[in-house]
Amino acid sequence: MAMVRRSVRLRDKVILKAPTHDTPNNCRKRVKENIAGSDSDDDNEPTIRRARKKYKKSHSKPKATRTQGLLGRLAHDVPLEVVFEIFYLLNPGDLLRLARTSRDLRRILMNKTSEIIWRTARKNVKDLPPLPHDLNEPQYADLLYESYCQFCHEHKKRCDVHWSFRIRCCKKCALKTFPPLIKFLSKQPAAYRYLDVLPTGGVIVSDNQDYCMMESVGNNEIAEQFRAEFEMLRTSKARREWISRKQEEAQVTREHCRMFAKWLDKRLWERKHGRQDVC
Amino acid sequence: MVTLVTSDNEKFNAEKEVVERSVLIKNMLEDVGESDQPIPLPMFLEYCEHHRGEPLPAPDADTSQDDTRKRTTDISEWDQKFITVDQEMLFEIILAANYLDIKSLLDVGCKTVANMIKGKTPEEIRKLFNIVNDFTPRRRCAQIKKENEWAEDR
Repeated sequence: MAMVRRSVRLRDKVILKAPTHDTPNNCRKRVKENIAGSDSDDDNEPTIRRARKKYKKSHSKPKATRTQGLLGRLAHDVPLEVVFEIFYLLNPGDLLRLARTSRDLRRILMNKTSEIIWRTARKNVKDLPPLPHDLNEPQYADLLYESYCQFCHEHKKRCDVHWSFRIRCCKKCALKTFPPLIKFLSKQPAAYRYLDVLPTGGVIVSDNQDYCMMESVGNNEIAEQFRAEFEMLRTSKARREWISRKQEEAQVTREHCRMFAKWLDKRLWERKHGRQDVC
Repeated sequence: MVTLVTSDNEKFNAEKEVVERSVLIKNMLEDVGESDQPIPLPMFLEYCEHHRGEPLPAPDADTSQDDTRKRTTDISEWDQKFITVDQEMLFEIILAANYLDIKSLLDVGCKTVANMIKGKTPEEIRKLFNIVNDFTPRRRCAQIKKENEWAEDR
């Protein structure tokens, strides 16, 4: 096993309690405050001291004793682009988990201005279907990489993503929430009930080695939104246009569902056959 | 030959071709011309010596502009061995690579940090990088529910 080299210069610095870093520019100061771990004892930079005092005052937190971590120090001492270069190398799931480590990292990564980081990270996932028009980057990453049920918030062994509904949930919640399609459609306005306007999905009701039985289902919440939109329209022309637009959107969504199912199958196959380059 | 001096006054002699892997030093040498004056620098010769002769990236090859390509975190065997260091040293290497403008070394450093993050849970990342979990319990619940929203600009 390779020997890990250590920085003698830095070790000496710690002993001498000498200032570690050069004076940063304004951008770096901001990032250091943003990225967690900015509680180094040997840091005598005035801006950071002010930030720490303010934090203690407003949140009454006990004095932190940990030394600053690698990410925080990089954010302080190298331009933000270098830290972004690290983020660009991750996949969206890694970004999602990184955004959950601290409020500051969350503030950086979940900001609309960081969209390019997510976009770049998404490109790192081989053949991943493009971002659907009605989702933002973290929403897409969350559906792709998380495993908790969005209804009961529990991590279940099997949580399926119902892409047509943009929901990930466990089988129990799916059966409880999504009504069978025939019953569901019978309650929808006759004007668009059978016109492929409403998104539909499938829930696995029985799954064993020999067969898999799925039940077609609808989504009452989405249906209610659609009904409200439809009833707001007063003229028959506006309603026809609305139906036409919704049909087009449903077609795009169905196409994305197909692309995703294909991608998932390929990914599972590659994993099964030991392909290591699959994210 | 060029003489490099570290911050603790240790001197190293190296060939111009080797040290010119650093764009910063290359520019410095071009600016001052041939001189017997030593150049003060931290240690980076081992890396440049190994990679001597390899083509340098074009000056305008700013990869952050190109978000269409897949980025890998693959690191060559020698670089992997070179970068097997503790976090303090890794920080120093990235700092020096950025300052000296050695793009390939900076890439290796960034890839190493990215590989450290990959596949880890939030708690594992916190532990690894000494990040304090400052989410309140209430916030943690709300966090999941609001996960899919862009944060507001502050």
